Amino acid sequence: MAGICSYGGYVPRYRLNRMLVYQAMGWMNPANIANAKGEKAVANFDEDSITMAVAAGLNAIEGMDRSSFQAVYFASTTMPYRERLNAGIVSAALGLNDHIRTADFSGGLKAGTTALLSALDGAGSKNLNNIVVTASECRLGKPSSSQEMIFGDAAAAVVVGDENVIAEFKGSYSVTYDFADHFRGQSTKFDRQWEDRWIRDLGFDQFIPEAINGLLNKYSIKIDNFAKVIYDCHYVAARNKLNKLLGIAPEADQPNLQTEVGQSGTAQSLVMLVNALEEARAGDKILVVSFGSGCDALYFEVTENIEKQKNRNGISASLTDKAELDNYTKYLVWRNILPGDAGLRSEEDTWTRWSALWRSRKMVLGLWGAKCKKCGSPQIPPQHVCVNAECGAVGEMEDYLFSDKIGHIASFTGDMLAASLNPPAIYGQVEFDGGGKMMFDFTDCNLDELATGMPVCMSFRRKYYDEKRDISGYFWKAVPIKEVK
Amino acid sequence: MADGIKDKVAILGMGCTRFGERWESYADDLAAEAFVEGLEDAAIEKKEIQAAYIGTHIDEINVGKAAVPLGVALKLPYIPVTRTENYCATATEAFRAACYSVAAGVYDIVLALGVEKLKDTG
Repeated sequence: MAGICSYGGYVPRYRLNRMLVYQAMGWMNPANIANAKGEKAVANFDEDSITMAVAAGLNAIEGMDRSSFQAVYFASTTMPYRERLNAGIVSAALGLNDHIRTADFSGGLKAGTTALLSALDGAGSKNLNNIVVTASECRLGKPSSSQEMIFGDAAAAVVVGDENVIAEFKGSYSVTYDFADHFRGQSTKFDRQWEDRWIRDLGFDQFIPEAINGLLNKYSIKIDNFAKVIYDCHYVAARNKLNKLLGIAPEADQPNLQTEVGQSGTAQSLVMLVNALEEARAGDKILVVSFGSGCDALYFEVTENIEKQKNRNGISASLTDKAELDNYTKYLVWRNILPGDAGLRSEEDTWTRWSALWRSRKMVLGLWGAKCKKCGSPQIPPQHVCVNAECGAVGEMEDYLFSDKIGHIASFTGDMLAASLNPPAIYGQVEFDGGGKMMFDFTDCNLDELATGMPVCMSFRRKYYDEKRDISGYFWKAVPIKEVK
Repeated sequence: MADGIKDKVAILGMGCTRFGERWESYADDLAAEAFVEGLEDAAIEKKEIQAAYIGTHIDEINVGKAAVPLGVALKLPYIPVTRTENYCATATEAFRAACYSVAAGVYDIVLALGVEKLKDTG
């Protein structure tokens, strides 16, 4: 019985009030006031679709045996690499086995559900088990465009398998159309779209019913059998119309988080699915419909196992853990829309040494350190000679994972001279529970919030971007653990 | 009147890494490999070493501009560690400085180590 075994979600910490965007750019497009409601989630300067996918993925695999995973499927239309497997970076960052299947799913916005379907097919045919499916998006609209208002950054992940599922996969129905409502070419940074009315009337109004009715007919089931209907449509009026047309009751209409997060592309339907699973009860039927170059409709039934997942963070915890980004131009600089000057030091040429990265890939991408087999001391970076002065064993190390460990701030400083898109650069020593100490950058925090002894967790982030060679380099940073109320 | 270092200094032991492309090793891995062999050859314990000199030249891509990486890689706490640089005579410089410090009577046993990791330049 294939289905979803676990779920995770991630919404970046910073939220941009849409009125701030309107105040800055409304002069150019006054009609955009219609979109200036609520806030949009904005990836930090050191986040992208890969890092957010990792955050959601870590959330989903928490507590599971890392060696049990057999595949990682990553969906996004904003992957940092066109050549170099993005899912391979995600898999390494999740700390998974080398001998697994990985794939990137991209193109249309329905790629998120297509990745999920591929995983379900793999688990259903018993060819694969424990597949991490993660979708993440960081799309850009031009300043003053409606897309700039509407889009938000987010990620979701589910683990697909055929044992102990929390939501059993019952079936699916897909439609594919080369309907170019939104598009980006090979070298295009910003999303482009055709007229809204065309997208609404010929896109959403036709394809969503086609997909939903197709599934209902295929499995001889009625719409009101579903406790939740999840579908991707950010147009409020079109949504109301579709709900009425399809007979979706208000309590079954899963909120699309448009005013809290924004339209998150390939991640959108999975973000809504994860959000729905957080509240789901055994026996609930859930319908998930994506939109973009057609639709995938997926039908799930929640099982008793859902009760074991109730303490997962998922999307709702991310919604609460937020901070206001009170500065529109900061967002522009972070997304490289406005070229900010990070000082002379930012112009220093730093090569990516691929052979060196390959050598230390487990450390850099997975935050694997070492543990001495003689004395048991954890150490990071992994050492040849044991760091314990009493021991000093040579070449007696085994792998030891640090990415899942809690640390405490041993020291910290703020550096206004270091090149940073979010000065001051904050870094210092982190001492891990269980042993191990290393210098890390701190992120998702302000200098004045920090104190020694404060607990931190590790977060996979973009460490640098080499503009000259278009290289995104990654490493782990420390994020202060905040109490989520 | 100066009389040089003749008959004042002896080499206790030597170690050398395996030659090759060494894609799997960083400079500190190479340093540890040579060091362990040298220590065995000298039949001494690490704690008997009173000072260390590291010669490394292409500092931007592997070891860096300080002597610290040698102390960290080999775990040599509480002794002075010095880095030398002089093009192709870089490690000779480390060796010479080590000899002088012994000849001067400052230390009894000193480590001189030269290391370069050239294969990460593309």
